[in-house]
Amino acid sequence: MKNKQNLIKIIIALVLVLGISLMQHTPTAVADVPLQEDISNVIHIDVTYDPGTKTYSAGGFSFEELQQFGAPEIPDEIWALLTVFNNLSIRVIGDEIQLLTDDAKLFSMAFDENARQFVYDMLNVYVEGGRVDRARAESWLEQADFDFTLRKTKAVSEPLRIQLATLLQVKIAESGAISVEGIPTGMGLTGDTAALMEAASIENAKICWSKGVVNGEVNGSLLPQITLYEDGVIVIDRAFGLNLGDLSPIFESSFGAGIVLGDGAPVVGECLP
Amino acid sequence: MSRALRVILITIGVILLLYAVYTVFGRPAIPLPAIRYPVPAGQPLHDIITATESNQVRVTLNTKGKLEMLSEDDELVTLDYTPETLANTVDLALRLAPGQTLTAYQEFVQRYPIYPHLAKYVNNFFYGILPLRISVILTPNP
Repeated sequence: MKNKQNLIKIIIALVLVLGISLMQHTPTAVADVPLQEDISNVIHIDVTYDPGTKTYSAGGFSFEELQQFGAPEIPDEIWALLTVFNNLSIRVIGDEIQLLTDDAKLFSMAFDENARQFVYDMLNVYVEGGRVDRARAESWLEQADFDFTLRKTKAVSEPLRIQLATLLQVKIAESGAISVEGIPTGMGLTGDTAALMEAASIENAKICWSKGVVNGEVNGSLLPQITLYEDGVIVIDRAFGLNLGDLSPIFESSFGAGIVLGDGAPVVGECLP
Repeated sequence: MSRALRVILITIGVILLLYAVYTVFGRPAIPLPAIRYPVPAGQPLHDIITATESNQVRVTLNTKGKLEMLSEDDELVTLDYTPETLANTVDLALRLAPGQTLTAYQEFVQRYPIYPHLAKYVNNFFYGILPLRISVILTPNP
């Protein structure tokens, strides 16, 4: 009898100790977010061309693939000009634009305030129904490293490399018209979709794509993280006959957008890798 | 002390002891038997399954916060969630749902106000305390 009482005491003590220790155990997770001190935007576009066949490749896409996307044929005058060069590179680094041919610097130009103002004025004339937001453009240029190469070879160009930490500001007007960084795209949501989003009180959204990983927020509320794998997208492509072509450029890129609907509050922040 | 009380206490003790061991091992998700579901032809999911090399897709829900879609050993798509992000998604889905779904849900909640709390509790329970792994193997139905 005494043994049973001792057993019960031990069990009660055990229950209390384990119960308290379990209650005090709060599940924790350590987010494996790499620290990034320098937020920058890198855009590398490689174009290869073959004057013999009058074909070109850009961003890792072959001429045939580019034609599927509606890429135009290059006029003969441009081909005549391109034949002169073997390699041509345009680099925008900070306040300077460099033009290099065959790895030799052809000329460099200060991309100072006056030069930038000239470019913005030109764009404002070119862009119908929209104006370049100077503050946004300056913010982009401050953090951008732009590299454009043009090579005379039959080989397919290197994949497009886009690493954008700064969010592209996308605005969807009440009519459904979509503009990117203040420039109208000519595309828009259907009236039903725009009305649905308005009825759902969606003011803004943030979407970040980083090499297949998609992070999203709607009205500042976090959504689950989705990871798309290249093999998975190939299966979807095969299943529905989408003809998406080579997906490696997009799976090597990082970019994001802050989408504002109507008069919603602008999206702030960056897309960290 | 009555015999019944002793049995209850011993049972609770054993359960807590087992749970403590389970916690020490990192609380892995408990796998439930996989369910096979043949998807009829004509559905978009059927096209996806037949586009894979293995001709089958496994959808696995780990209630610890992961939903995976796999074909053989290849991952097709993964979704990582927390109770917070899942609740945000459900809220967004309700607001974007066509027809009177949101109104119907709001009426249901008015009638059973405990429902959102119960759903949150169940979600947190299977997320943090007793995670399960539920798999559905999708095959094409010829």
